[in-house]
Amino acid sequence: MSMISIRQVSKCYGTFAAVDDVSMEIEQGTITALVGTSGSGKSTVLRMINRLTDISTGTIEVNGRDIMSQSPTALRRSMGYVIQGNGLFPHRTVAQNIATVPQLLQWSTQAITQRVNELLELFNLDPAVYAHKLPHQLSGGQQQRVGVARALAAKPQVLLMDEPFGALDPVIRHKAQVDLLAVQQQCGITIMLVTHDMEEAFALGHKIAVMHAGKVLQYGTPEDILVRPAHPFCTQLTGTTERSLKLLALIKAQDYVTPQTLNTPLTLPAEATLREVLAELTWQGQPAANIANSAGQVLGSLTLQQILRAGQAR
Amino acid sequence: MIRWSSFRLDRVSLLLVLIAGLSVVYAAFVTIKPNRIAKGESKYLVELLDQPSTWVLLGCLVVWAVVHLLSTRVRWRLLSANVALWVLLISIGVIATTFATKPIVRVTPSSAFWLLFGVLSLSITDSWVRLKLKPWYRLVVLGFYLLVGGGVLWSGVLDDLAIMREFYAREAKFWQEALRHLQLTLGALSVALLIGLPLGVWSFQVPALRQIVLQTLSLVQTIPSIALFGLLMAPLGWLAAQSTGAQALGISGIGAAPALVALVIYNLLPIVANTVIGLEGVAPAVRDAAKGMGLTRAQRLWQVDIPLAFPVILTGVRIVLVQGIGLVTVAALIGGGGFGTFVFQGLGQTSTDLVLLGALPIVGLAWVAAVILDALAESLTVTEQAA
Repeated sequence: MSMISIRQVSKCYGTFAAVDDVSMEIEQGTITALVGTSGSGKSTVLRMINRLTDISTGTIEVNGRDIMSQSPTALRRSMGYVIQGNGLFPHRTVAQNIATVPQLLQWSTQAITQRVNELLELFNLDPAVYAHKLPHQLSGGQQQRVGVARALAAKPQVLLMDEPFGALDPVIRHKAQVDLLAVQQQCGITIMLVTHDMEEAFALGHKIAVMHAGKVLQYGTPEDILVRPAHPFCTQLTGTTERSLKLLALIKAQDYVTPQTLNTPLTLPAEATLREVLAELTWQGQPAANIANSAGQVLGSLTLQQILRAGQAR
Repeated sequence: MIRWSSFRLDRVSLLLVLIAGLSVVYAAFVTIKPNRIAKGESKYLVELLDQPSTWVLLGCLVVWAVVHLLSTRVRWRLLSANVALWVLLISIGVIATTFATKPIVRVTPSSAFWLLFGVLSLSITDSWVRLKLKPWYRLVVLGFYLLVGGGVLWSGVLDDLAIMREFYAREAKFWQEALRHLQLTLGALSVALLIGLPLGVWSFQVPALRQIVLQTLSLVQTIPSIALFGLLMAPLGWLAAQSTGAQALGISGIGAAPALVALVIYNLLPIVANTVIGLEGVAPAVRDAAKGMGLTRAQRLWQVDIPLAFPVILTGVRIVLVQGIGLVTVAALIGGGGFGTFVFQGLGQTSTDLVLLGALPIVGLAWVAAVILDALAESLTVTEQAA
């Protein structure tokens, strides 16, 4: 079922179309990454979903309901919104920041406190230590986590993220991406994420929409974008170097495993990507590895040959 | 043993000690006049060596000077300067009592006294600043000085000084004008806030309006205050003549009404400009997040914009208060009342002491207002988030 339906949506400033006839269906419980250079219209598409920018023509439905049928404030309170540089209120504590939307929705004090503590723990921030700190007393990574926690506070079904990790350094950035994936899997929320970084889109997106000059050039799975680029610009964004490795990074070992146990000293986890399996095989000098799930049960094996075949252009 | 390598003489202290020393030797300490408008006879401190209090004062000054030249310990500097200042105040009172033998004789502090008072105050302020006190402690310190100062005045030590004789001659009027001075200052501030805050918010939201409003208010600010009071006399006088309702409200060409209007007009620029600057300082990301989370226009204004702009608005209030306390003085010229009454009466009667009776409370009020609002603004400032 589609959580967000974008139908023939355009945004015009005079004769200039910032967004030009965009249509997309976003499945419930998935992460969709909008990728493009600056000025491609990707942020505008996102901001039209919570009506921060008005639609010129076309319709957007969220959870089967036209966004124009409700007031902008009610609509925004039903969605999470995370921006670059997090936008935390500098004069309010971490707890007060997270409580913003529940307070607007007039939750009881008890329910708010409980939810704030729940979220702080979810993001590995000890409530006793962090609840009463002010944003400037936190590190950049912690501020970013509080920003996401604040967006999730009122249990929205949709989370809109505009370059959420743009201000973070690469190490913290990777950690933030991993955390986001874990949280998304845990609460099954539908995420629409804007980024200019193709690597980030590949790391997070179930689906990727490549935007250029207001148009969606291609909307598909990461594998589609990589293997069957619809436009030279898509190839330009993904890059032509290490394409095979990028492809291998998209496939999980459990999805490619041969149900046959081999006599090899190496056993690797089922959640590993083929790229990780390849790296480990190369490092250990082994031709094959057994693949086991988190319970330790061996699912089968993968050979170097099979992995190399998976990384070939199709 | 003194380690000369670690000995550093700071230039400010040297300058202060030098001024103090020169004023003791080359400037008159008191003026003794046979009556309140006659030309008086000046006495230097060295001519007053037959007074024990002169020796005590000189002793304290020497200790203060030595401490400032040799020690960088803030506590010793603060202690010696404070002792010297209070001894200076008490000794001028004692000397006044000695010379003011008849009720008609007036004893007035002269340049050496004022120079020493200034130098010691500077030295004390400098030491407090070096201690980098938290805002609330600064208010406690302010309260301490007000208490001790009030105590010295109340004790009667200074009663034989000319300025205190002028005070006792018109005590009821003094408090009446003090009240009027505060009423005009705070009244003009309140009205300016009522008009200026909405105007500031509006100017911020409409950039086209901003330029017009700010430039008009800057232009008004350049009109000399006395001219503005004069300019307002005609329209307000006309209004009072036309409408009995306006008359009933106390509006007339002279008096408190034109004074209040003129002060409000002067006060608008700092309030409006600081509101605009404060709002401009709110990070765009914070504003965008607030909007994106579903805060209404009013909620964004009251919960995000105003609280974050408040410290800057408060510095506008500080400017208005300090500037207003001074400006109200001129209001006396058009019958507005306030401490200016004494200043202009004193000028008319060539009585310096009466001028001082009006001027010193004005300086004191402005100083107290500045300290309180600085502390308030600093305690409310939230460090902006990084990135």
